[in-house]
Amino acid sequence: MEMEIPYTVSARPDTGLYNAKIGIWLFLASEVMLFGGLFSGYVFLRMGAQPGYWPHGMLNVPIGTLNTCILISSSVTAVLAWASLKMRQFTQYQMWMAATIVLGVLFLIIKLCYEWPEDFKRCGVYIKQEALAKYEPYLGNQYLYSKGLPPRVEITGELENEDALTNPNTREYDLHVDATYADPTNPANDRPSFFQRPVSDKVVKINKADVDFASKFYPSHNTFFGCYFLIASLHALHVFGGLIVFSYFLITGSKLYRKNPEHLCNRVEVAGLFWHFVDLVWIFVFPLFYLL
Amino acid sequence: MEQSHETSPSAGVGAALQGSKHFKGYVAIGITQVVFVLAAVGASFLPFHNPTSNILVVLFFAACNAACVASFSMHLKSEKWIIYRFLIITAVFLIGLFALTYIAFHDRLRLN
Repeated sequence: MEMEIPYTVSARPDTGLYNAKIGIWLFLASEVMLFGGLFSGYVFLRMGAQPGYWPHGMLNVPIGTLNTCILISSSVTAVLAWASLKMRQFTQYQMWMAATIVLGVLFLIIKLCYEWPEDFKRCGVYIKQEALAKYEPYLGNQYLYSKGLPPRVEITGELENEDALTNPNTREYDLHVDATYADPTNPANDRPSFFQRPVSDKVVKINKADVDFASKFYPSHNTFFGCYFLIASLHALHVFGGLIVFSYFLITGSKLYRKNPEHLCNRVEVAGLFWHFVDLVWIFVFPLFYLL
Repeated sequence: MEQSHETSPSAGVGAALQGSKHFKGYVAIGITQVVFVLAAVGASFLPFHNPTSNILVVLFFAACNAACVASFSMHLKSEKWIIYRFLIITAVFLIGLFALTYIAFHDRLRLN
């Protein structure tokens, strides 16, 4: 005898909803607390950072904006897939669902295959407090002080001698500095810009004895990148999970649709709610890390 | 256990027309969201006198965007009361979490 799971289609009398919907909302409530905890930790660390030690404008804003628009579009196509099923237009459902998957994959490709590798190419060198004056021509701290802006304690760019990070016998870092450090007193460099400033041709030799810490832009580089990679990775995992579920519905959906279309519709609605939540989290990740 | 298999609510020309109206609504929400994102990006580069103004304006646009997703895409504007009950409890805990963060930060300063 086949036994059916109750309330997958019809509403449960006491809640007025099918069970999966209650389940997904309880799950999303726990997700709010998970990301809420991470965001509050980020706020705490940022508020407590010493002046100059919380970087701004380190991430690629145009790419971040493009990725945000892609995720919003995927959220729209996900809800259109559900609406198509409600209208019993299965071919349209397949089309919108495929579009959602393509957009989700595009989001991950841009992040994992372009944006992060670009970050990992760049390097930052934190100068010791007592050596800051020596590198004043690149930092421009007197100029920043006169304008009431926070000081610079780090020089960023791309390393010419990459082995300097690991080889203890190398005495200095040869850094192709970012345009900001090539012309530190230019008022255009006072604030981050929409387009990332390119690496200049200027090579600055930084003595290792003057350096507090140097590394590429990995999560261990500073608290900002630690927070960013933690939250963005967790978010990317959520996107990946959503894509697996959507792919399953796209591939196996026709069988369930023939048997019970409303059941498939409810499943897609629940997965869609998760997807919209993933979109909602990114809506806050983007401004907090890329813009502010 | 038996359960009803609802298959009726949607077929037919009337439903398709209603669907097309809904489709346009969802697309309009998506466009509004993109506008909010672009507004947030623009506001973040405006030369306000202090950074707090930038933060508040950008977060305002992000909150508007989030409200669009929650209200329309997640259908929270017309959801059952039980869902609101879950979310009210979650919101209370979330506000408590951020309040604790704020209190802890100022406590740390006092100790210093």
